[in-house]
Amino acid sequence: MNRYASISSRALVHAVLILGAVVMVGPLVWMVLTSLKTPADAEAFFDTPRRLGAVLQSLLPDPLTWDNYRDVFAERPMHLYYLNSAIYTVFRMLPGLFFCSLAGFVFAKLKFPGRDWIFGAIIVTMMIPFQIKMLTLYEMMVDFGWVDTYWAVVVVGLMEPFGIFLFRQTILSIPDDLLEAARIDGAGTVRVYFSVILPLIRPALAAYSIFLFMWAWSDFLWPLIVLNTEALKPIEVGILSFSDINNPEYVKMMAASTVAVAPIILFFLVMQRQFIRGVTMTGLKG
Amino acid sequence: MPARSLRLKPQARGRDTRSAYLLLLPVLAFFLIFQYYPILKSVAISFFEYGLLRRQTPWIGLENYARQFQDPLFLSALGNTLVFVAAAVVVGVALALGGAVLVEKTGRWAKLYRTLYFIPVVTSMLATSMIFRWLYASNGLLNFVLTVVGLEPQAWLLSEALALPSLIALTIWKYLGFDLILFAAALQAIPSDYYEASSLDGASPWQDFRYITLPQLRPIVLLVCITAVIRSFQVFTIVLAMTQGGPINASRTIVYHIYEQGIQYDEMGYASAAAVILLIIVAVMTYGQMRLGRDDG
Repeated sequence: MNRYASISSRALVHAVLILGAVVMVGPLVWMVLTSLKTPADAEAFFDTPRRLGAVLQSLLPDPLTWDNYRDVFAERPMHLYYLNSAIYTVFRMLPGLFFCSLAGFVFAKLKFPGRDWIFGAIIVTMMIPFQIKMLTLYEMMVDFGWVDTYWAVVVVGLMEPFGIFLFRQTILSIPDDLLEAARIDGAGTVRVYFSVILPLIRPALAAYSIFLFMWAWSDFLWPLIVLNTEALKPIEVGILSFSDINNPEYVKMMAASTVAVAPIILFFLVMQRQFIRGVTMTGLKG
Repeated sequence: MPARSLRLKPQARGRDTRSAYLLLLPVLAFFLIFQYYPILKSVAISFFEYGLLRRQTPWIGLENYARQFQDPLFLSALGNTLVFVAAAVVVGVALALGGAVLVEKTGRWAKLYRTLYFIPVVTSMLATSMIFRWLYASNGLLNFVLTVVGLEPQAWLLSEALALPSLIALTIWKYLGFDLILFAAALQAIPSDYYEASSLDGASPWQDFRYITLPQLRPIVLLVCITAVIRSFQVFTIVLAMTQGGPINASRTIVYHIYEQGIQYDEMGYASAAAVILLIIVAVMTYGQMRLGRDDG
């Protein structure tokens, strides 16, 4: 391949990728721009003359207004939605990390009758879509009296089979000699877990927390079913009330979506290296 | 691969067993109560005319299953879901794979592209559906772009022909970055001397892709396809927030059907039968893909 062909093919690659990036990020930019417009301004965009200058000008809000955000916060308890999302995420994440890594350790490094059977029985549930058990789980929540409580969201989402699988795979690669050395020094199984295993699996813990964070923050179907009180809803369910099918108010919908996704997108941009490493690590193992 | 145990003195074995079960106790209790019990119970009540408010009901055998296949609501949900899964997985995985190959060609720019393409993955599904309702609106951005290039504006979500494809496009947009990241990581793991050797033999980029990249990526392609299939069968949020199954059931999906029948109409037995059918389809598809992945290797 000659030099010019290679330069032009590289330009082509970039052209395709830049077009792709516009498609990927464009809708979010459009969301933010719309959220800052008046309803009339947003609706008028379609009637803009099809000239580059005019289009660029009418993409931008004119006049720029914060009214949509004010309305969104005034109509719904957005601050409580946020708080609930944070509570659900943290209280599912911390016990999840502990129990899954502990179970991963037991399955990877202890020998006991029935081990492979029990592990298989846990892992197989990874393939079963949540919707299979959602109705009977809801019935269980009714019987427990957990409908419309924090318990229903936190407890049911406590442990993911995937986490146990991930930690088992990670801990398998830790040499037995390290554990044996600790045991000879008199450490019991629990001590070995805390003082030898935990420090060594820090990258896996970080990767799994990021995975859980993405999962828990945008969990929708289950909280939608078990929560009715506004004050208990996470943000993902809370903003559903702005998504009226028959009478959409797009400027408000865009303000509500911006409020809902801004924290997680910002968090991603700050921690992008950890996010992407976390996904590849968890994804390739799973 | 079987786990190796700590090499212990024989009398330590019993202690090992005891502490293993003790440490696993909370985990086992959780899986029995919140996984196995509800799953098995769903299967069980699918043979009853069951509801939250009428639990003492007679065994009706396979009637809930037979009824599904006479119910136009279920049949359209099943058909739509199969189309949805096929299109979202095939187009989505192909685009992600192609995108990953291109991204990894750009050297130091690759990181920037990976980040940009990943942003939709962290954008929550409900926010995504609201954004796309505005994009798909009659006076929305998509129709604007169409008219700029001289095409007719479309009714998208309000059109029987386009509602489902519109949801498929959104789903591909949302998950492209996730699959792309996995492919990109696998591409980086291919030793570069493979390509050096092939360029000495004068191979074209397409031959490189066909005879080096694709075979090396086989396991990860299989993995991504399996997860994409399982994920796509569960499509729900966008249906609820964007079309509610319409127009005229054109975008009704199985999980939406389960939700509507089970939660809204309290037909839990009937909805559970649909859930069991979903489980069977997902299991068969997963098993089939694993077989395919193993056989022609």
